[in-house]
Amino acid sequence: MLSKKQLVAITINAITVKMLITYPRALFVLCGNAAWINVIYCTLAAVLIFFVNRLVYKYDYNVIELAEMTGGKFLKIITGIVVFIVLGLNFFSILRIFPEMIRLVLLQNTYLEVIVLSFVAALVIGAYCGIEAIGRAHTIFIPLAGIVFTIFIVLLIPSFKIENIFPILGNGPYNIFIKGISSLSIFSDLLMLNILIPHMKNVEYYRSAGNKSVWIGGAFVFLIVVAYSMSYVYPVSANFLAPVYQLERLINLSDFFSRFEAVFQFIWSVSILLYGSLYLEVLSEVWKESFGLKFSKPLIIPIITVLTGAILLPNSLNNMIIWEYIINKWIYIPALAIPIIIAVTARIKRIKNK
Amino acid sequence: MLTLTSCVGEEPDNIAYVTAVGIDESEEGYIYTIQFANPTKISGGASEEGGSGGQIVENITVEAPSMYSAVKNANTIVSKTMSLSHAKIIVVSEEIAKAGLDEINDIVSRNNDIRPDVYIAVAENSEKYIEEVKPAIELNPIKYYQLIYENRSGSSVPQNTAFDLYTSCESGDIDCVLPLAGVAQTENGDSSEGESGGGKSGNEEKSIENKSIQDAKINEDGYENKTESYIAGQAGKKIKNKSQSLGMAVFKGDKYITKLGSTEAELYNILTDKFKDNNITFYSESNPERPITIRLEQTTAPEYKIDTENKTADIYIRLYGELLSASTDHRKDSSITETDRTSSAMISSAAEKLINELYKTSNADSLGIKRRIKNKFITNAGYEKYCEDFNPSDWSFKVHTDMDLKRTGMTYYR
Repeated sequence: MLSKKQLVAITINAITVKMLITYPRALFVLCGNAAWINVIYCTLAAVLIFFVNRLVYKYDYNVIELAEMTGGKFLKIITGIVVFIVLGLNFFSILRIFPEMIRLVLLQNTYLEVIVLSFVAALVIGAYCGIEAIGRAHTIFIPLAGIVFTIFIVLLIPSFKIENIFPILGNGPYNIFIKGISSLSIFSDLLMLNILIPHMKNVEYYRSAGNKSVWIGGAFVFLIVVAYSMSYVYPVSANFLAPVYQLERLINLSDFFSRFEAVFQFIWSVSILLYGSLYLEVLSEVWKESFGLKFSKPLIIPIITVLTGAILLPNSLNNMIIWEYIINKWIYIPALAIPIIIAVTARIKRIKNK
Repeated sequence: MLTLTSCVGEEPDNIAYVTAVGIDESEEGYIYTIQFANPTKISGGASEEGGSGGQIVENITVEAPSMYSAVKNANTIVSKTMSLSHAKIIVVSEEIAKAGLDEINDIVSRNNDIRPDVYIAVAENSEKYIEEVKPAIELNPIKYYQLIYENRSGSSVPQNTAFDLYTSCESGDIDCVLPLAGVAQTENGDSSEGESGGGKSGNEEKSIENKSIQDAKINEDGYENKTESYIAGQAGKKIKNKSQSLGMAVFKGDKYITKLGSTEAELYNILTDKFKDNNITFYSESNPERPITIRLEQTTAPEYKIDTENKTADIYIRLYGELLSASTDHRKDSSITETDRTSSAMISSAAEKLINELYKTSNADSLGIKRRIKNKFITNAGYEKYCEDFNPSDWSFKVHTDMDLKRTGMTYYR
């Protein structure tokens, strides 16, 4: 069973991990220097959506189990496949972009395939350790990452220029509030939290951990975006592939502390390895539950093999970023809507039965 | 596993660390001067400790169409692999800077090895400048460049880096200024008697007469009175190290347009909050032969009040002063207030002169008025529309200096 602390740590990591790679760039391309307003807006929207989720979702089962109880095996399989695709797509971009970034900044002379295989091997080992072990690793790692993140923000303060956040509405209200609603994809990992319900004491854990994670994760994302917004003037901020890495490069404390990237790369790698292991474990659980299989562990290697083959489909990092953009534009809709739709359907059915 | 890769790819022993790169134009392309550290001559890396003598840096000059092909060419000559990860400065010739630094901007932003805080300096001849860099009291060449270019106390070069140049060119909301680098001219042309280097101790080497000093412009307007506004190469009457960095290169976009002296660079630093402190001489009305020296300190950023309608800007500078030396008439308490007032007026007047030079003569928005007016617009579209008609020479400026003479040293006369 996962504790509340572990669940919060897992979800915060899942929400913020996207911000460590290319996601902030997409925010700046869309909203300009007003990306921070978009983050506040989407965090509040996510709080509202999860509030609705909390109101309707009062079952000690995850969406797949609930779908089976509501609509039988057919609905269970359909829901399971949709959840698998949504979570797979959510995981997909990180699985490709992370090794690409590692090659770009750390292992420039190593073949991408070697990095991908090493990464995948680490994920498989992590996933085989099981959800409890992953949860415990998260509770150890997230506070450490929080401390590093705080030091990082403090060290960046000399680079902040308040004028960089102006004009206050950046690329305009339409881009921030209408087109920008797609930034809700940051919170699409709440679906993964739902899948973990069978590993919780009761549904109250899901509701409480989800709510806390949205607030804390949103605050982390906000701080990253504000720091980036104040350090790099727009449109320069929309140019860099890995904004957080770019921020680390600005830190320069005299001669003795000018390569903060080394610390960042450690946090970055551990964070993504934990995230990847968790997703692999969750994906195999989803498949197991959808098709009524007995064990999930034998599914880990087939799933990662299929995903690893799929991530090599985009022939360049640039193409992968376009894929990521398209995925993030739509993924929040099924990710946030599925639990609500299934819970409402279950309620209607229960009322009808009564 | 991925983070514990250690020296994977290249052992540090096999790497030659580039400290500076100079780029000059040639008839068929570019001449790159690559300076790299000689680790066998750097003991411990600490500046205070003694070295084993000899050159701490080595230079290689190659002809190549781009920086990467230059490094590749250099790699065929030097046994170790060149790395730009510790490069501290890129020196470009005036001809290249005039044509535009777009390519350098692209390399600096795209390359993961090159740090964003690398300095870019403009020199008449960058090869000559790099060859003349022979630090004597520094055993770490990186430290040498750091102390020259990052010194905010008494700095006579603008404190801008490659990152500033890149952001200014990409955003277009400010025109950058960069440090000037140069070499002192001797009577015998190039016969260099470097400060250190060839195994001799500093005392054994002869000083040279710097002939360039006669070209330096002398300030007559009160601020830095009777001192020279040097351009790199002009400072020092008798010197050993011929390489210098003084003054500023003014850019419009990525193109170099003009150069200004060390006094202007100092004022530029004051106007852009990059000045920390320095000893400044002021004209004394009661005793013109004996200047007043005040140690100026800037602790708060200048305030810009900008009127976009009338295209005017009022700049409020706040400085703290400490009287270091004065003629007899200025020593008394009663004259302190007067010194305060006249010195403030001299700073304002000198700053306005510089701004006119930048905005009216050079038509460059070097203080970033476009960046500072962003808060007057709601969206980028409105801001960009306003900037379409932005012309720096249309703007007028008024500088208000509020200098408080806080201390008078260890003496006080009634």
